[in-house]
Amino acid sequence: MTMQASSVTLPAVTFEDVHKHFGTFQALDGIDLTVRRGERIVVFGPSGSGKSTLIRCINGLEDFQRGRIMVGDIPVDHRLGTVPLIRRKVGMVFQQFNLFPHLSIIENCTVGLVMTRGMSEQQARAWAIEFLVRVRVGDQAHKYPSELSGGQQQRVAIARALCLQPEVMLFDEPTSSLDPEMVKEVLDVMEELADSGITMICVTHEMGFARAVADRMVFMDHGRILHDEVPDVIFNQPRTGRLKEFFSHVSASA
Amino acid sequence: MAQQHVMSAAQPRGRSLKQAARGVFKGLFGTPTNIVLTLIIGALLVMIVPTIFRWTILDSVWGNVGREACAQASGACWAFIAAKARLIVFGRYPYDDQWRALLAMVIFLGAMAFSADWRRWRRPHAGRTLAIVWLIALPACAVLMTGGVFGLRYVEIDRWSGLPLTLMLSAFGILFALLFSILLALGRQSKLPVVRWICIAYIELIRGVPLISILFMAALMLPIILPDELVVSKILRAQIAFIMFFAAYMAEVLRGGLQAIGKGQYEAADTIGLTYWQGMRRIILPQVLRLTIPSLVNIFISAFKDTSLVVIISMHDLLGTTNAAIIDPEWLGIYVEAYVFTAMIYFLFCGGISWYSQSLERHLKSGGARR
Amino acid sequence: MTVSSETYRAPPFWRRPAVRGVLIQAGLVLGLIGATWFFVSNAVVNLAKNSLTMGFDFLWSNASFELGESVTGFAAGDSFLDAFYAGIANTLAVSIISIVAATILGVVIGITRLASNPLARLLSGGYVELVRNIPLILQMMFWYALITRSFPSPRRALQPFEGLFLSNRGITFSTLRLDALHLWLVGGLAVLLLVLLLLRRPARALKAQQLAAFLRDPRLPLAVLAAMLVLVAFTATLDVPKVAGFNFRGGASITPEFTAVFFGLTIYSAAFIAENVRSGILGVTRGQREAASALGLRPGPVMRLVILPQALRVVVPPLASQYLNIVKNSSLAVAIGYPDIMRVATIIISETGKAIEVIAIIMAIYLTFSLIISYLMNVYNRSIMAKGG
Repeated sequence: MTMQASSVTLPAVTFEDVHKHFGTFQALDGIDLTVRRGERIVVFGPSGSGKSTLIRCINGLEDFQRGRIMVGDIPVDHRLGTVPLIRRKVGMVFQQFNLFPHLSIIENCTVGLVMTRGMSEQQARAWAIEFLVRVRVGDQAHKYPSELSGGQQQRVAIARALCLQPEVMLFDEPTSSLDPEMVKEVLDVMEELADSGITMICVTHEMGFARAVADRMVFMDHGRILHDEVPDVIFNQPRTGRLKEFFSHVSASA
Repeated sequence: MAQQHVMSAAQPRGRSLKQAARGVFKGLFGTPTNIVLTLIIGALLVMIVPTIFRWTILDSVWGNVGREACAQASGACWAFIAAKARLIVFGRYPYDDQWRALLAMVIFLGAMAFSADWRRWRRPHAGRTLAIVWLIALPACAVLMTGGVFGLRYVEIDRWSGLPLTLMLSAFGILFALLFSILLALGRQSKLPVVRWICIAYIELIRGVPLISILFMAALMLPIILPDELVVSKILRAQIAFIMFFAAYMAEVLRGGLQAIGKGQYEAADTIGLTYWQGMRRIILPQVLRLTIPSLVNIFISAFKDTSLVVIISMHDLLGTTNAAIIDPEWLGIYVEAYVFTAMIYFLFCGGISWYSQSLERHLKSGGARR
Repeated sequence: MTVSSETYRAPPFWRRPAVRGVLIQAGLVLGLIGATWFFVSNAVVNLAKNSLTMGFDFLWSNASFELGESVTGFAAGDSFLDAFYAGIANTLAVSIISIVAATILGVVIGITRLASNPLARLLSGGYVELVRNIPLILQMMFWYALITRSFPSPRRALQPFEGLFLSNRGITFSTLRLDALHLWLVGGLAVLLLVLLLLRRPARALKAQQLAAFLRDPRLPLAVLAAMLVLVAFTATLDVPKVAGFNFRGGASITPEFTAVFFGLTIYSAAFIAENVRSGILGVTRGQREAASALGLRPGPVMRLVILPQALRVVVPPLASQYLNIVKNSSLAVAIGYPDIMRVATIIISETGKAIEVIAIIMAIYLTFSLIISYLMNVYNRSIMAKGG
């Protein structure tokens, strides 16, 4: 399915020789990456490897100094002022959920619909509730974020991004700040989402999830992409160097 | 700085009366220091309280009974208040039309009380309801105070005085200062250096000088630097001075609140596609205001008290009318009663505001509307 | 997935953030320049109408007014500049004395608010609530009325203790008088005492052990102090005020205006300082219970040596802004006629009509006060940081 879509249309996201540094720290060091439409990418690597920066550059939360990022046919360019256009096409889910604590669950979803899609409050509610039901928090719609568990909050965050109908979904370590028993409910939702055919770029250490849904796995270290392979290769080929080291840490801590 | 009733909070609820009594007794007589303290304070109270009680209640003169009745009494001459209450409360507002000022105050305070009830805020169309209430209340107040229509006599704005003037100066001062301060606080955080520097300069300049100097500016400088046809009445000039002054203090409080909101909220607002102003209005500012209620209310209370500074530029607010009342030669020598009366009015309003803000804060906390 | 059919077009150039930034800022600058030009041209027209001019040269011409009191001894015929100096000195005089008194009163009340004794808590709590919910200017006017209207005439002045008189002329008290020679001697000893105290810290680094030990001996400054006291006790004469006509002669007095401003500022500011002290102590002891036990059940040294110094660090920044508030609030003195800087300013404006210049000057003066206090605050914060605060 991914193959069909990508062969005829533009890639969803492309990186061409992207460099970014914070002061002297080189966060991204010559990234080249092409994500085809409908493709599901898992980005992983040790902390500080630049994987979060990579996806935050896609929707303009971070600027970069050199190279080019395209979302569809739109360049991500802070100077040209294209970032608002990008954000209409790209949804994002954060590690810390970042729900709006003063708004109810349903309002968390409708605020974007009303303000950026010009829907009426009623239309937006009817629209948003479907997505809340899809992530199985439909019955919580009138509660406030602080009344929900971490897993529920993260699912609301997914619904909030989805109801704006993005073409690309970014996940920045969506399960890292969850209690272990809640990880699965979030991953289940993400797997269902993967089946829907949306383009997904996930920064995550959930290797089970990666094995199940990823079309490609991107291993990063020191701001560079060291491996970009299908999961089969990552998991089953003999590992070398940094990847081997990384997996030994992951399995040791797991 | 916010009034906090930590004392009651620290003591676990639901203790029996007996235990509480034992605690009080221990506090009073538990240690030598406390025994000495109790004795000293007790002696002081025994000396002072009966005196005050005699002066205010036992030996005082009540009712509108005239000056002579007070001559014999050794206590307070509340007859003075009875005779002068209307002067103190309404000041130079035409005597026969003072019912209009009273009605305007009742409408205004009623609308305030209506809006203050937080149970109403969550109801559907709460915003619209409140807007309608104020769109009726404010013009009604203005018509009542000014007159000139519906057969009401015209009263020029410079005759507004007493409590209505104090309420007007503080309510509009607080409201517009808050709106202005939001712009200042956002400007101070701006990425544009010119905007940022102008806001910083304004805020620091205003915070560095006393309110009176701003009032003098409004009273003495504005008529010089504006063409004659733009020079508004003194009351409005004082109103502008209050707005300019308190906005700087509120902006500093809001800045603290803006910094306290996590980066994640700004990023989430950006990510769902809100523009800067949309994100501020719907996501960031509501949280900032909630966070800064205690500090903002402290400024509101200061603003309410500080409206009394207009006496210095010879305007007749509540304090000004009080001073006008005590210079009446017929009641020579009576002033304590007047100041006590006026002080109580200020005390009730300030105490009321802080009581309300505390209960609102408790409500917001228990309401779980915050993470 | 549907692929969006619309093709990308670059946003118009005025949508670019950099362009918008430049436009907004340019607009703002132009607006400011325009407003300034508007104000200045109006001022020129309006001043010309009243045949007034702009400029600060009036500062050097002679003032024809007297001030009710002046620390610097201002008198009619001195220049307007001297009048400003007199106003600044009067403002500082009443502010500094009020700062000292309000700090003492505020610390006492702040500690009392946390005492284990419920009666003490009640009293101090009532004080704070009452005082800070009533406008300062009303309180000052009340004190002023109390002193000028209800205090007896000098002839029947209240005398709470020997040598102190309360009357409608203010507070009058006895002073010590020294002749010139002894004044010089006492002054010299005071300078010596100051030098000794300043030398204590650097003396530690001295090579000469004996000299260092001598300089660091705590008995040395005490001895100098004792010598001063003895000298004063044996050579000074007491100048007791006596009633002469409608006023006192001899001693020293504080005017009703000064007293009212001082009372008002002290009582009002103490309530705010008390709240700062209270929250400072609560911050250190983490909770009411511990605070109460530390204050009520343990001996004084714990409070003095453990809690207060720690609380001090938390309290100093808000305290500094309270001090600045006292200086700014002293401008309310204008309402009861104490000749502070603000009162002097109003007199000068009414004499010369130079509203713009005079208001600019007083703003500059108060800004200077603010800058000095915030500079000192920064120095203090840095020294706390340096100590690993």
